[in-house]
Amino acid sequence: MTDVPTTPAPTTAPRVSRTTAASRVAAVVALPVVLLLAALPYLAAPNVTRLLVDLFTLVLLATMWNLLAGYGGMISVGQQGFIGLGAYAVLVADLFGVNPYLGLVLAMVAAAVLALPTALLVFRLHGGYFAIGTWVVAEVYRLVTVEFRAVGAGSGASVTGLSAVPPVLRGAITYWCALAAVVVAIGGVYLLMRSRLGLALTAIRDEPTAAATLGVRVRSAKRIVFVVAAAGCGLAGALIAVDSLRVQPDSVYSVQWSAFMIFMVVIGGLGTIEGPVLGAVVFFAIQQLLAPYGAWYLVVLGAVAIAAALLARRGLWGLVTLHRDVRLLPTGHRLRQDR
Amino acid sequence: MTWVNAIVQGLLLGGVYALFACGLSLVFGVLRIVNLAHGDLTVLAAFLAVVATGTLGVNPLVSLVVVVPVMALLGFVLQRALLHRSLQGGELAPLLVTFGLSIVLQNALLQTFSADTRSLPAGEFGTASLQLGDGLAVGWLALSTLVVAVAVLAGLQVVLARTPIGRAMRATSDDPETAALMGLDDRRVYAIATAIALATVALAGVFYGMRGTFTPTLGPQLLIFAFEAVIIGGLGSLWGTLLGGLVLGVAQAVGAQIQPSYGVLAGHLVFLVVLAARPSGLLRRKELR
Amino acid sequence: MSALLRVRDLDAYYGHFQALSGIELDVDAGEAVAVIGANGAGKSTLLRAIAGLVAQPAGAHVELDGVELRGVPAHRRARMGVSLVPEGRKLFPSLTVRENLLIAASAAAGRSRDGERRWSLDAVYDLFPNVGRLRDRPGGALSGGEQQAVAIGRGLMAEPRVLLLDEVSLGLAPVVVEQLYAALGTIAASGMAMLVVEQDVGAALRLAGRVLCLRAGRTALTGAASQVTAAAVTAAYFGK
Ligand SMILES: Nc1ncnc2c1ncn2[C@@H]1O[C@H](COP(=O)(O)OP(=O)(O)OP(=O)(O)O)[C@@H](O)[C@H]1O
Ligand SMILES: [Mg+2]
Repeated sequence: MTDVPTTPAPTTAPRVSRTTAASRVAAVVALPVVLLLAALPYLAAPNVTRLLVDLFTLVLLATMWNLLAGYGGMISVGQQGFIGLGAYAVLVADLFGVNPYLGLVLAMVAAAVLALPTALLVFRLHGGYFAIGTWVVAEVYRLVTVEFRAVGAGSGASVTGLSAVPPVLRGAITYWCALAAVVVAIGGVYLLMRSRLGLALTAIRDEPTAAATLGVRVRSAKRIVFVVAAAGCGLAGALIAVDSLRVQPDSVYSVQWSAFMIFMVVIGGLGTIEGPVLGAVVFFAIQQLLAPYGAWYLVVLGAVAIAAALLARRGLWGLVTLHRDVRLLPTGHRLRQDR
Repeated sequence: MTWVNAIVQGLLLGGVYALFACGLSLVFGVLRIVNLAHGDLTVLAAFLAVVATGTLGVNPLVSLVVVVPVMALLGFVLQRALLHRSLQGGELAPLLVTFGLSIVLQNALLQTFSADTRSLPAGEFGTASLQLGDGLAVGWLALSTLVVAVAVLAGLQVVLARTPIGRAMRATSDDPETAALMGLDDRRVYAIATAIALATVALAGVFYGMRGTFTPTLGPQLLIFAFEAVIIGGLGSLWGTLLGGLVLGVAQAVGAQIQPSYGVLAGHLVFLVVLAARPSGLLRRKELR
Repeated sequence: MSALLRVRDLDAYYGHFQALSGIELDVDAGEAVAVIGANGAGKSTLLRAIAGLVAQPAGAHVELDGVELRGVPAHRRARMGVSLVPEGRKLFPSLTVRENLLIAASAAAGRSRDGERRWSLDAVYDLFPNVGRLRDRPGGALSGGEQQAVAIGRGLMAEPRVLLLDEVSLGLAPVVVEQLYAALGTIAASGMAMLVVEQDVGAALRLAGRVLCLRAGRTALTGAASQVTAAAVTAAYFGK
């Protein structure tokens, strides 16, 4: 071999970066925004915070469904089962004289505990059949619930434990709970996806068989996601209960919740953290605008979801980020060559 | 005697479920799509029959002459316009598209026909029954539904196993790209499969409508029953689907005999037990999907 | 007089990756051309592009008997007489051997209604006697050599004018390769145009009159099989 001039080594080695410029800005902006939102009950009228509770509940649901489908690869149309359980957990807590706000925590626990045996069953199904399987389980929850007279059987019951709290204060506490729930959910998913589990999930989503042979524990990773998503949906159901103070089985266990979740996530952008939040905001606006038109608005919603699934696979957030690196909450790793 | 009666009525009910299920099973077997709008399409067929009987003044059975071809055509168009495109979008897209379609159909029906409960009166044929002993009577309509279900499943089995189009469906389901190398147009094969599936859906919708009542929002429930029949019987086996339908029907009838509100729940529980104990279904056939 | 299969300026892309550039090729009726090259050179891509499984960009020409095939989907090309025996055989596992053969006959249905059929189940069973014995087996339950025989038979049942064969010898014992190539020899003698992708250069060159060697998607060498030396092939394979 003759002497070959060696190429000079780069002065700095490439670095793995986990942030983007946008994410650093977002980190700085996030805290003041959250603080501002937290102060809102002192600044805005109660009907504003009341609307925001609805919005936050939707954001929470969308984030959970995205965790399942976008990161876990599991399309569920049975999350209403956990929403219903959460709502009823508040009702049961109330019956036993427990503070309904404490019921929020109980709801998460109850949903997570029931999610374990549910996962055992539905994980035997795949793809679309998994979807319907979760739906059957949700139906079972509903049918079993309505057998209990103590919680009002088929017609439901009211949450009475908060009647002593003045409405303005009650509204504010509910609002803070909803805000906290959203912050915890988004933050939690963000941290979850940046953890080893997130890496495993990405591997599973891209190449399940290869991931399995490389020792990624596919089942347990999926089970964790399923349980976390169930807890989140249970919390959402509990928020609905303390917000409306009334729990009706046909409403809290309605498959329409799944329709809403799917719509929000598909419109916003599956598999990103920002997308579902954006989707929830868009959905909330559409709901406010079109609700007077009755079922037609759902027809439009369904049609838009079809169009988005076929034409804009990455959703609105995908369009926003088409040519820009504006990941506010980046979960991946990027190689950077510093000069 | 009441128990024997419950079981007999359950078997007859199972015939309807088997009829619901075969379209779902066929679309999954050939296109690999789980059609989440299956139940709503069944309800749509029933409402088409309402319109047909209303405008033409004919018996619902006669309306099949119109409803079946219309639904088959709809299936062809649906496949060409929506499902085929969704197949290119990975595993999630078909589910999202058919779920969206389900929402659209359900709410469009709700707006057009209101939430009122409907039925398709089948005249004397709908009420006459065959006395089999004291306390045990079998409705002619229920009996003929079961016969139709068995005939449809047997027919589908023959088409799939013995005809060129059935062969083309199996080949395309195995490997659409290689099927194209054999001169098969996958879009056409899929569209024909969907058309056949929706023809069975039309039958199911009209027979269900004659047997009982329905509303625009019944679709999801029917989808769930069809799905349970498919899974109980075993994915991909048409005879399994018949068995699954019958088991589901009996479970519901027996449950309802214990207490009326337990009917549907009992069906779900039997499904969950099968899923836990024998996840591949009662009659899983490996080679034929 | 132009060739039966005429390829000009053929490029092929997988996303942004260019797998073929500027391929030129003529195959006459009754002629067999061998396509050789290292793994990843683009041999399969060439056959898939001709069969219509890989998009044909504007400016690239694939002509069958003077008819431009751009925009013609794979299933229509099959019906026009372009038959690909794909890499990995790709038998339909839910179909029996007999059904695997029959399914291809539908490709020929439109074309040979008036003209006489050359290939039938019996003709295939004559060519490959063991296929006849296996006719009721499911396509998934065969040995590699048996599968390859069925795959070739299936390709023939489509009544091809141009038969494209991808890696016939892959993973097969030499004696089996010998038999398959003997059969292909008889078919070639009957006047069919053939394009044969092979790793087993010796086997391919015994059948083919001409050879095309690809390297990184480009033509590295082309010429009459009798004129191509081992050294030239090695050089074309690996670059100088
Ligand atoms: N589906 C695909 N997507 C992306 N790239 C592909 C795809 N198929 C092939 N390629 C790439 O195109 C190039 C040519 O591939 P091709 O399969 O034509 O090679 P080949 O010559 O047949 O190789 P082999 O001898 O291994 O079969 C390779 O670099 C391969 O990585
Ligand atoms: Mg190759």
